[in-house]
Amino acid sequence: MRIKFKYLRPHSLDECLAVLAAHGDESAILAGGTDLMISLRSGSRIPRYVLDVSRLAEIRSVEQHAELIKIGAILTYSELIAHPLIVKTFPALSAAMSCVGSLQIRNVGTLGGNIANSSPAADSIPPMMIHDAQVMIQRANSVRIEKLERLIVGAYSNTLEPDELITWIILKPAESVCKQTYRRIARRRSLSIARVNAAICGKLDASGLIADVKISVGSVAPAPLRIKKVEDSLIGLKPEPKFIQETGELIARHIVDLVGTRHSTEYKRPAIAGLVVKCLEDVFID
Amino acid sequence: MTDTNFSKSSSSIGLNISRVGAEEKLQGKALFANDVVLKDALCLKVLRSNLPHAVIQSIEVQKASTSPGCVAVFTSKDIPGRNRYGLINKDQPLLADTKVRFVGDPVALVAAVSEDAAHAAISRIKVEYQELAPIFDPEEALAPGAPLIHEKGNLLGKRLIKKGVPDLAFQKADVVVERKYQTTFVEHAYLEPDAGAAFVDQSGRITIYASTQNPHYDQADVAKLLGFPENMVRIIQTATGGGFGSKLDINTQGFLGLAAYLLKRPVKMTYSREEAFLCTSKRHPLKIVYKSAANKDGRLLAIDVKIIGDTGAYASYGLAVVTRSAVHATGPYEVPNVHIESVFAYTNNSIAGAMRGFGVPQIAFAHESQMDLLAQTLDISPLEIRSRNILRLGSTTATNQTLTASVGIGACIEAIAPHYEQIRKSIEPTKTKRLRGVGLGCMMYGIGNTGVQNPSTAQVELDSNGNVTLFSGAADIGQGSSTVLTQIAATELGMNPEKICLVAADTGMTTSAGATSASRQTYISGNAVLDAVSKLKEALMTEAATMLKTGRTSLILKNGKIENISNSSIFVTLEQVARKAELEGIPLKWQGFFDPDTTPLNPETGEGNPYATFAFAAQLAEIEVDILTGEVTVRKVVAAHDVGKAINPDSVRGQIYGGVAMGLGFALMEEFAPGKTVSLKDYHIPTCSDMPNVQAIVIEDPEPTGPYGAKGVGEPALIPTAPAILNAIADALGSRIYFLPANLEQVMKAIHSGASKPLKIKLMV
Repeated sequence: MRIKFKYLRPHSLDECLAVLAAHGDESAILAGGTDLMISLRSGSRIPRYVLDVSRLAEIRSVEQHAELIKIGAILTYSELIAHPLIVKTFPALSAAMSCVGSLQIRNVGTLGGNIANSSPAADSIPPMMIHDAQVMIQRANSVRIEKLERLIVGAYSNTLEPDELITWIILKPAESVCKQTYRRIARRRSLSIARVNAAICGKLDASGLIADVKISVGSVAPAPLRIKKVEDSLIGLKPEPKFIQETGELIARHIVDLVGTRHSTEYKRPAIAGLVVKCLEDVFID
Repeated sequence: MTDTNFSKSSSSIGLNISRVGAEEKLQGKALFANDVVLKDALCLKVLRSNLPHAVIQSIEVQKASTSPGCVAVFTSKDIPGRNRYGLINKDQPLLADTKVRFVGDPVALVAAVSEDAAHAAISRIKVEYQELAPIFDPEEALAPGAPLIHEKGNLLGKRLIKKGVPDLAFQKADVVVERKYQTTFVEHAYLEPDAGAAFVDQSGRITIYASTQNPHYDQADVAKLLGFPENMVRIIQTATGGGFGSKLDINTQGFLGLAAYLLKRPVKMTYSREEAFLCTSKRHPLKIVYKSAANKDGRLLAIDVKIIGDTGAYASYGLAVVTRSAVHATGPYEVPNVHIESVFAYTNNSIAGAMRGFGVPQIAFAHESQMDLLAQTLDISPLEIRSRNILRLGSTTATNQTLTASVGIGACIEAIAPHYEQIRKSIEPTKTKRLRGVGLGCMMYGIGNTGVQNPSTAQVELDSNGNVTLFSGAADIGQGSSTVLTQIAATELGMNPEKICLVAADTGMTTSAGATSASRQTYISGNAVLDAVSKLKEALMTEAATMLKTGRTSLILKNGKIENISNSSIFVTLEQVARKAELEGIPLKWQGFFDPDTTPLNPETGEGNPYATFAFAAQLAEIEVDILTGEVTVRKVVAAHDVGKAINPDSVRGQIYGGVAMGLGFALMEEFAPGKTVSLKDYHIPTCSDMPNVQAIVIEDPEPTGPYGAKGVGEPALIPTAPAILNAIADALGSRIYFLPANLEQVMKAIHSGASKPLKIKLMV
């Protein structure tokens, strides 16, 4: 199916926000287009305007501000994977971005777009969640900063308003002693959507006990989850193999309790446990 | 090609000459069906049923016909000939008349000035249906009182094969193993979705360009649909991006022919990926109950196999799968007592038709699992139990056919045995979460259609300038028949293959070579080419002998010349011979023919010689299962294939690599759910990152009736891979999967089910 729309490419962020203020509810935002083009082609979205934000210079950079790193929302996966600061500071996120779709998808797909699409299986979201990600959202005369976990409220569902644009993602780097990991399970090695994905970041104290841990699991609930309840309960414990196994099972149980038993639970319960075990081993056992 | 290699022997058999048409494809110059531009061609689109089973009460086309840009809307009433087609059974309407039988059944055809106009018109057609109870399971379809999908009943066909006294053998056996296996619908997923274009010339002849593997069949079926003489329909195969069996059906040709014929205007039709998924044929899902008996030495005594197949809404090539799955149920093993029953039913699922292997990949999954189960029960190695049972010279098959030559399964197993033993030794009991395993898969495959005539013809012509043109109806869909046929012709004429001009798969220029299916083109069309070229050569040699005033036997045809064997300065060129022959009225265009020597199967016992020759193969797969996630990594495949003779070894290896990839998908991830699976977004085929290291070993046990000893490899390449992978998973886990694909869910279930619990094992040792 082919639809007709007007293509607009604002030259500045202000111009872009002005267009959104005027026509936000009849516009579709094009950053990489990897999700938008599919919905345009299928006819599930028929916007009057397609607003190309992919070249807005104001939000095409990575910036360090004191303790935080700000990532321009329209940077592509390929640009970010090649960015030394990102690779060094956020190895789990870098690994996750390397798993997205295909090289062609990564060359155009953006981190902001991944958030806006709010897929339950988004690769980039769990590894952003372990960095307490915040999202800067702008409209013509205002800015809001929202926690990523609060912005995404369900499957393909978020609190973005039609006149808003995601401009920056703000991540908190982990302490340098922390180890980070990202893993996913999929039906094939590449060009696939994650069946389960997880990102974990953590560190041990001098006596080998867990001093800090952050766990995020995706593709298991309407939105990727931070498992804070379990995170807190792990502090001060020794990451022995049996304990890691039990933690995996605990998290799987926790998630199944949260989302209920479904057709996929028979597979996903052990798979969540297994994937979390592998991630915990990455972080706490060499 | 390497000219040096060629000139040494003047034979190109066994040389890796580059693929005919490769350069055009690499440069993007090859014309695929969608690249054919006919001036002012109308765009064709089909309105398809969104219900699986319903009676059509009315079709309202008025609003569509008057929709802007719409030129015509056709329904079944507009079909001038017989509105039924099909490869074996003519049971499929081009446009549904009384009822629809699956989601995707064509109901109306729109011709419009643009794609958008065609879509708009389609959306304005109103069809009223009365829904009927759908059936999605073949056993339910065959149950008494089931709603009828076709008037003649829901049974597609049945094949019985009986040999010896299986009941007695089961009683006497030391061990009996019985299991149930199941496979799913599989999509061919060729690179190029179906497409075509057509026009009517001034003489009224319809020319159809199509992405097809079956031009002469297309011609016959399109002519019948139109009630038009066959010679007034011309099918030209365009460059074809794969077919794997689905392009044996007339997917676009009927619509193109109908619209061009009725409108007398050029038309064009291209399926989207979604449409190709929705309405083209799939691999048959089979349920197989397989019982094997052996003595304590592991010698097979009997098998009892019941196969239930789902052919979906229409037969397509279904009947061939009914029979071929039954005939191949023993695998490459000699089994003295056999009872095999294969029954296929119509359902309201997607159409299942031909797909690389015609049911043999499915049955091979069962027979190879059974061999491993017997081996495990008797504590014999999987390699050893196979070696003890394989077909040899003089063996008889399930249909009581005695094998008299080219039985290379032993050589294939021997070739992979060292690899198997080496991997076996390297796998140590481990406490890690990644378990390694190695498995074997063996197969036999009858070349050509089963127990029916399936001839090929060819012509070769020498013109007065000494140029040779070869005419063959064989459609090269990427498998390489054009290259192989050229090599055969060139070798017989002592020429460089590059000097031969090939005209292929154009019903206006070539006679029938039969379908590109059943791995038959090298063997059957290769022989037809050889026959034609030998006749031409004979005529040329006789003429040259007269010209050189010497005996026929003292001459040799080499490098475009016929020369004296002992004195190469005494020669005539082909051009000179051709000129002379022309003056004397000696024909320089010769016809070749070959039909494999087969006999039909006895309908009661299945006895007969269904194939003139068989290909054999043994593969091993080394895999690793992540027991935490259920992911399977195939690390290595070693594939030994007895092809008789590799006319073009690189092409043979190419087929093996592709077959292994397809087999890996069949084993681990490919699953088409009718009514659910939409496109490649939710249908997973392996990518290069899923592919293991594949070591292809070419075994050449020559077939005396084959061209230069050749048989075939197209389908065999795929068949052993899934069994080998599944056996390797069972080896790793100690727990077996009886369902394909062995996807994440199946593997996880097997991981948590512990060691295999035999369904039924009788051990009386």
